Amino acid sequence: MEGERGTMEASQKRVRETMNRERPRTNEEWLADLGTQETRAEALADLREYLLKAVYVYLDRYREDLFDLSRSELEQMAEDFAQDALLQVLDKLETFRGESKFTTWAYRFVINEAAAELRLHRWRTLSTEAVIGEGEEVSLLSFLSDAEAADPEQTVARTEILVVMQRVIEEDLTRRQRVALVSIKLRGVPVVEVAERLDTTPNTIYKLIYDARKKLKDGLERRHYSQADVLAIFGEE
Amino acid sequence: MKLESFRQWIRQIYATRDDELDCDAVFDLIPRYVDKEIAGEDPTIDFPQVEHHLKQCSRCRDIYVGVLEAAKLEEKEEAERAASPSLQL
Repeated sequence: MEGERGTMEASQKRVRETMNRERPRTNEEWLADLGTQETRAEALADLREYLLKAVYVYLDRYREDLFDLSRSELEQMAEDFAQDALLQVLDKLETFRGESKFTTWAYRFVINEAAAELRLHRWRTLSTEAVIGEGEEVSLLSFLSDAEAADPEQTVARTEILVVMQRVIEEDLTRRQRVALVSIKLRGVPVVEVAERLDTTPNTIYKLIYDARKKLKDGLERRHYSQADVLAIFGEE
Repeated sequence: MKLESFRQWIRQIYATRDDELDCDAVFDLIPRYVDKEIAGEDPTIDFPQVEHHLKQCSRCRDIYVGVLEAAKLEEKEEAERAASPSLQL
């Protein structure tokens, strides 16, 4: 790990040195330089360095998740993220309306790339059944490991709420809503992984989870459980 | 799932609103939200729906934090550069 840290710090230093050669471009200068043949190559190289720097900052936060990658694999990963994001930035350049700083606008592409790949990296070796457990019966009680309270009456009250929620999950949710909810909320699977396994987009998964949340909220409120009631029963002081 | 995680889920369920932004809309607004924060302003005033979404969606929150950290580092380096004109040579 120390070796990897050294490499990433060296790369970050290299990036900083490159960025220190010139004063920062304004938004207008970025657009002009990227759109002019004579200045395009240099602007692309500079933008790539900004993106690379953003990737290294991001990867540094998830160092523990990447322990199985060698130094060269990490560097290659960062270079690939920066390169892929650069292509996306160029592809979306016409949609930049100057409402934010250009580099901030560009960072989201490379962070999105890195975030998706990191989540997939951790789950890639598992089968679809192991990840999203399709066809498996859902028991909220089995997922909530410490639902049993010291007070038997409170345990009964907790069980009643879990039964209400379980009934909503089983009877009111569609199959896709149920799979998304159980995978993400109960199994802790990342959204991007569930999206890939269900052959859809993370945005669609968010909408499935949103609909599931709405139905759970309606189900609890229909039975006159307020948020304060539920939280109190589950031990919030 | 531990009790605190369950309670957090309950808060998310009850916080569900009819007018939530989806991830694509938030992805487009994150740069403006981050720039406000970098400028020392409160981004939740202009973008309350982004704030709401970030509380509901761990994926978008992760992207937001990543962009914010990169923007903060850039800001810091620019400030250092401005304070040390010789570095610009």
